[in-house]
Amino acid sequence: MTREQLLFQLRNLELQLLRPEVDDFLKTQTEAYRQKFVALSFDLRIIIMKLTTSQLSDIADRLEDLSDEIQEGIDALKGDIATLDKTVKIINIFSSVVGFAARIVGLAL
Amino acid sequence: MNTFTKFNKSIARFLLPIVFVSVLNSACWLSPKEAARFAKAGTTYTTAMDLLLVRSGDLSIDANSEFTLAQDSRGNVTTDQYVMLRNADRERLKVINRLRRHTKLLAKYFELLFELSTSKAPEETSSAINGLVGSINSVGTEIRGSGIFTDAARTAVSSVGQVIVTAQIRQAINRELNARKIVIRQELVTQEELLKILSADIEQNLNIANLTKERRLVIAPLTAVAPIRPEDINKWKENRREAVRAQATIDDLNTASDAVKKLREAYESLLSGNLDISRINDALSDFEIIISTAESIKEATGGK
Repeated sequence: MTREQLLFQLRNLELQLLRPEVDDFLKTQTEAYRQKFVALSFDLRIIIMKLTTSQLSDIADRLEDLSDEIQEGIDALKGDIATLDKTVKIINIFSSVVGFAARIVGLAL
Repeated sequence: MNTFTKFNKSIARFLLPIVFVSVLNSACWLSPKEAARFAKAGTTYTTAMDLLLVRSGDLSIDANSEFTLAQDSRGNVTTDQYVMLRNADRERLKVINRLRRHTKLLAKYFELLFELSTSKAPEETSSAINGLVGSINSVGTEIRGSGIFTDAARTAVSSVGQVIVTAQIRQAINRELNARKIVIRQELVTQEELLKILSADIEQNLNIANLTKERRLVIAPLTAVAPIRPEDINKWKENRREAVRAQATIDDLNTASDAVKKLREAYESLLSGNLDISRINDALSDFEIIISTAESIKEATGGK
């Protein structure tokens, strides 16, 4: 049985145990029986939580393995955007310099 | 033909091959518009996933609270049992925070891809070149009484600038998507699994919260010896309505659990050079369902 199949069955069992009919049944049982039932219900809840957290943790591990390459992509894209911005800035600066030169030439002539 | 007309014609002869090569090079590349659509869908996905992660963490805690209350009414809950469950809640939150950190990184990637794909640099370059040519013409006018570039040459030069920068953007997008195609594929496959695991966990926790809340707020007052007081009837009906409607939230989430698969298929179509818009639209509408489901979860665990 895989972890997923086990989890599926445990979840179904847990929901069955939370049904209102179970409350009616427990009312007819002794205090010791009810305590045992509550303890086992908690154990079941903890197992389901741990199995699901473990599934999520495995996914987090796999995603984090990809983080460095995604960061490389982020840096590359930032570089491309910066290059484009720089191109426009350089042309604008050059344009201002030439415009300034034109005014100087105008004054000189 | 005077020297300046010859000069302008030379410019045209020089620029034409550049335009031709740029257009030819970029013709087989992915269009920035398609990359922008995919990046936008990716950003919407990361927003939906982050919200879902936050809500699933809260829901897990709330479901465990409801569970503890339900068990306490059956038999006495011990401190050990409470502490074990609280520790399990904290462990879950740690993993959710790790997943959120990674989702934020992915969101940044999609945002930058969108920014590059929708860059205004081609228009800005054209306008900057136009300004530069205007300045050069001013110098010419000051020295020899007329501009160096004709109006037609000025337009041609600034258009060429625009074409070259557009080709530069296409090239950058193409390079980036090719460099990262394996990692993005792996990312989307793993995200697909994550969404399935989260959906199953959310479904279970919603079921627990609903069953126990229904038992506490709807069934218990009804089966008590004393009838429900007239002033409590509207509240009881409201609680019952919420308990019945909660199933719709679970159904919606199951409907949207294929959302990442659609985004992945759209990504494959983008890489093959023909973005499947219908897949993108399907994925986007599923992401909207995930966002509204996440909001419903918040309402469903609204502290009752």
